[in-house]
Amino acid sequence: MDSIRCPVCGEVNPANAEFCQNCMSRLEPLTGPLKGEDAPLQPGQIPTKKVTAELEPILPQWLREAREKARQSATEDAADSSLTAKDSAPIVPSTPDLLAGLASQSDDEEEEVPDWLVSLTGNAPAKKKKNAPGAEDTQVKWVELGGHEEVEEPAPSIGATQSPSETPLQNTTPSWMMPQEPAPEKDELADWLSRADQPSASSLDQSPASSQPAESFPPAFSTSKPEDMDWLRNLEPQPFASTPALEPQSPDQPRDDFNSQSHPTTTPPPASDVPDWLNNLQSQQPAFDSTLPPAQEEQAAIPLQSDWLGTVGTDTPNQSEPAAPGEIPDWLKAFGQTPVTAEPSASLGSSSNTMPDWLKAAAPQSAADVPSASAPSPSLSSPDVDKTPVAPETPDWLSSLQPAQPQFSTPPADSKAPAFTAQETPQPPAPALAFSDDSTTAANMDSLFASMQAPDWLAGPAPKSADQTSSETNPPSAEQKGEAIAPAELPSWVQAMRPVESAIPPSPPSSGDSSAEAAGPLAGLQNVLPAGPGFRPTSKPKAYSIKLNATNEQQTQAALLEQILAAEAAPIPMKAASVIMSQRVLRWIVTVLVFLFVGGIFFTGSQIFAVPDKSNDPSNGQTEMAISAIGKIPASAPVLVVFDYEPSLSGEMQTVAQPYLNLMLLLQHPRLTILSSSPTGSALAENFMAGPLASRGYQRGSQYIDLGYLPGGLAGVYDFAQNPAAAVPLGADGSQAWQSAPLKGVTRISDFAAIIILTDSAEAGRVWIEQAGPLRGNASMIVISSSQAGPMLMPYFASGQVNGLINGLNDASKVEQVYEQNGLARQYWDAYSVGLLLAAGMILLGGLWSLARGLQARRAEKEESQFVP
Amino acid sequence: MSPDLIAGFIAFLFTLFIFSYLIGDNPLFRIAVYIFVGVSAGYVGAVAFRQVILPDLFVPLLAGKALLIVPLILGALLLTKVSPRLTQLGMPTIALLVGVSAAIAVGGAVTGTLLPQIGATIELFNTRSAVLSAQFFGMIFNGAWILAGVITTLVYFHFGAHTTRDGAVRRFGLIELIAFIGSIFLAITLGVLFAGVYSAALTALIDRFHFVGTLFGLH
Repeated sequence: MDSIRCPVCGEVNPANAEFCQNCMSRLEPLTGPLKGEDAPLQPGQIPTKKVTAELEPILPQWLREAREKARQSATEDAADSSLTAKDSAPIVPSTPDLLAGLASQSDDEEEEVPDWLVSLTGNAPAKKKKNAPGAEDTQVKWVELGGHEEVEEPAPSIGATQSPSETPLQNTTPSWMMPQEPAPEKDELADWLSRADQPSASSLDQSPASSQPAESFPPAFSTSKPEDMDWLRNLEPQPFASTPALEPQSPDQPRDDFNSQSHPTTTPPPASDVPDWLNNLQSQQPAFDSTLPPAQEEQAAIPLQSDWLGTVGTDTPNQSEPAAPGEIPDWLKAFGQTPVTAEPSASLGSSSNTMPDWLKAAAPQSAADVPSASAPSPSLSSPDVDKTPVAPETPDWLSSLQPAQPQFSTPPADSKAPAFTAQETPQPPAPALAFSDDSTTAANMDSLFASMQAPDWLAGPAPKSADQTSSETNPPSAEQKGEAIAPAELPSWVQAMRPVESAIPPSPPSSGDSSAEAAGPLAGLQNVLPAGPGFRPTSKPKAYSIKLNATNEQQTQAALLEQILAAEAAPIPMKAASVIMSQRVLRWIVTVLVFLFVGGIFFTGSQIFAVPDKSNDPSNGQTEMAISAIGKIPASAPVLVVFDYEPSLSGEMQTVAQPYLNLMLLLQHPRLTILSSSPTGSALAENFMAGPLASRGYQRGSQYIDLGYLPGGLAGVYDFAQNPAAAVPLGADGSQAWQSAPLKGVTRISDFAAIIILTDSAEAGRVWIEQAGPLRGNASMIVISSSQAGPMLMPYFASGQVNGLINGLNDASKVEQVYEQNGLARQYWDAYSVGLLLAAGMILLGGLWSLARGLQARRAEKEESQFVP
Repeated sequence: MSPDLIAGFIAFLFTLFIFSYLIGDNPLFRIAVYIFVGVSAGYVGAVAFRQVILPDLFVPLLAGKALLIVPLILGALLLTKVSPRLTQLGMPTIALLVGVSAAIAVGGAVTGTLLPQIGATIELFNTRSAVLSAQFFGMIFNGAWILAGVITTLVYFHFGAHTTRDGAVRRFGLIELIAFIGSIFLAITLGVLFAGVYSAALTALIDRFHFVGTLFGLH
């Protein structure tokens, strides 16, 4: 790639070109990271103001043109205002940092210096002389290119700028300003201060020769850097700017920085931080003649170096008189001794032994390789030396030192005193006077600077000034070009926008903490520090709205949920239960009906209802099978009769069983063995034998045997079926039942001719059927059951497990008809039949009544539903 | 006054006491019930001791059957059920009784009820011995009726169901229909049982009327 295309206008430029030939835009953007962009802004820290004039070339052409027009108009306005503000005391405005670069650039680009400025400073003529035809364009170009063209110009000498300025100063400035600011003294002080915190505090205690490097900082008065022209911003609105002490190199920042003592041209970036009063002071520095006697200088320096310097702009006419000596701070007194401090500067060139160690370390080669390092020294006193360009072979750092030398006043020839005397040493703390009381002693200031870190604005200028001076005075080398695109520094307004590290709210000015700071860089100021964390809330508690943000759908659902919950909590009206007839009355009615009908029929002896015939047995011949089973029983055969019913149903069971047992006893005369699986069964059996069967004349022990109670329930029955003799070895009377006549020849259950089970419970009958049935052999099993157990035992008859079933009074009457016409069953039959009919009638009537009530209720509900909307 | 007459009067009084329940729960009814329970319990205890424990345990044990000590101990442990602290001591006896009874009941139910009833139901359709006549068809109809009653009743007790789309738990439609038919058979069966109970109670009432009539010479 031999060419590079301009990113702005698209013009093809040589590859080695840095700027576009067409639009002069930078071809290679400055891509380095911004310095300090990550560093948070400390509380109380003032952003270091940066000169943004360097960024001017980056701006597009149209913007630069607009800015140029604005600058022209501003210059004209400033010229007009300066003419009208000579007699007034205007308030020094604070130029916005954003426009700092513009002002400086406008100052640089303004070729036409106002007349008043020409009359005030000698720089203006020098500039004009310097920016002679052809140089003007070059100057403009330099502004656009960020100082690129500046290096091509011969380094202007200080003397060239100072000499012309002396004349107008003497003519226009007040007399008290004339001896002010000997250049060497000022530079020395500024450099010293700039290095006060840059090196360690111990550096302050170094040999007095340490002041030499401070002196060696190049003032570069005539370099006309963009930053140097910032002072014009203050000059325009300030009436004080109309004073002849102002010169283009004066700083533009109205701050109470002590750094204003440093030469503004030597440290352009810090110069922007220098307050106005110091700027003004610096602008007057060229007015001081080094040839003035120290006494005059001291008198002239007194009013300028006080705190009150802030009012210099307004009280300029009144400050023509020197302040009282008693009001002069010590450090200001040192200004009067600046010639003494300038002496070491002379020794800088005369003897290399006086070079401090730090300077040797900083520039060892320059001190060694350049034997003519002291060469500028003779030229310091010579006005012509200003015009002498810096030797090309001079190192950068040394070349940057040379312009500063003219600032020094001519030292005495025999002066070997160190650059920093005992009186000068406390001079650096002089800025602290701006924050402290006037009573602060120099010793306190010493300790102050030794114990704490100086602010950034005080520390920043020194190293930067050297670099920038060298870059301004010397042609940029290839490396310097590389440095040109080095990471840029954040502009002051950008720094101001950096986030503050802590959000400590500023204490209200009316708070009770009105005490002034007694020590530190804030000494003398009030209400500059917060009361302290913890004493007050650092921030207001955040106000949260208690209103619930819910969507319409959520609100609808919530309303629905509320309705559901309300419905759950609401009482549901219960329907009044219909009036029901008292059960007790109903029971009485039923009882009366039953007693009347059943009892009446029974006691009347009515035999209206015919007894059922066994031939018309609808039960598949269960009764007939039972009767036929009697015929199968051999005569006098052992028959097992199981009395397994409860006493409550003994009346029914006796009535039901009596016909069948009578028939069997009558026909077969069997030997009866009575057994009961119920404890009461034995007694019921004895009652049965003594009651219904008493007519048969059976004798206990000979014709029947009572084995009594068979314990164990199911297991007992199973045991008895397995081994009857072992299960019930004794009779109910304790006799040996198995050796008795009724049980003669019976050892097993199958030895019985028939097993007759009298039970009122289907469970009891099922147990006997299940456990004894499989082992009964050929023995017939006849079940005589109550009416309530009969239906549950009928399946066993249907399956053939039971040979006959006598179920209730109905079957008993059938059996009774076989041998008897008017038996007990027949006596009961009419009453029983009436009772059944009565029950059936009552059930039927009850059903109909219930049906009618149901229909009525349904109709009522239907009618209600019709009327209810 | 003969003992039978005294017994007859006492029986009559207790009969009236029981009938007094028609007007509600009253002390006469309770007196009759308590006396009946008490007499029954006493009689049962006397019977158990006299007819079971004494002749079947103590007498043989005293006669030298030492093995009967086992039922004696087990029987004694049953008495510990009276004390809540010692109730656990009677658990082995209870376990033995329950285990033996369950085994006997299951065996008896399978061999004495389940298998014979299944065979009987199947036998209803055994027309091998029957001739083609009205009786044959009657047997077939009777067997089918019984079979339908058995199946539908068994299906009625099948409670397997599934969840419908509307979330309700229902049985399958066919099973629901069969179960409904089974419920009819069950209703008929319960009606028969109720009729049997009523018939038994009615017979007992008539017996009481007969007793009173006999006692007072009314009948």
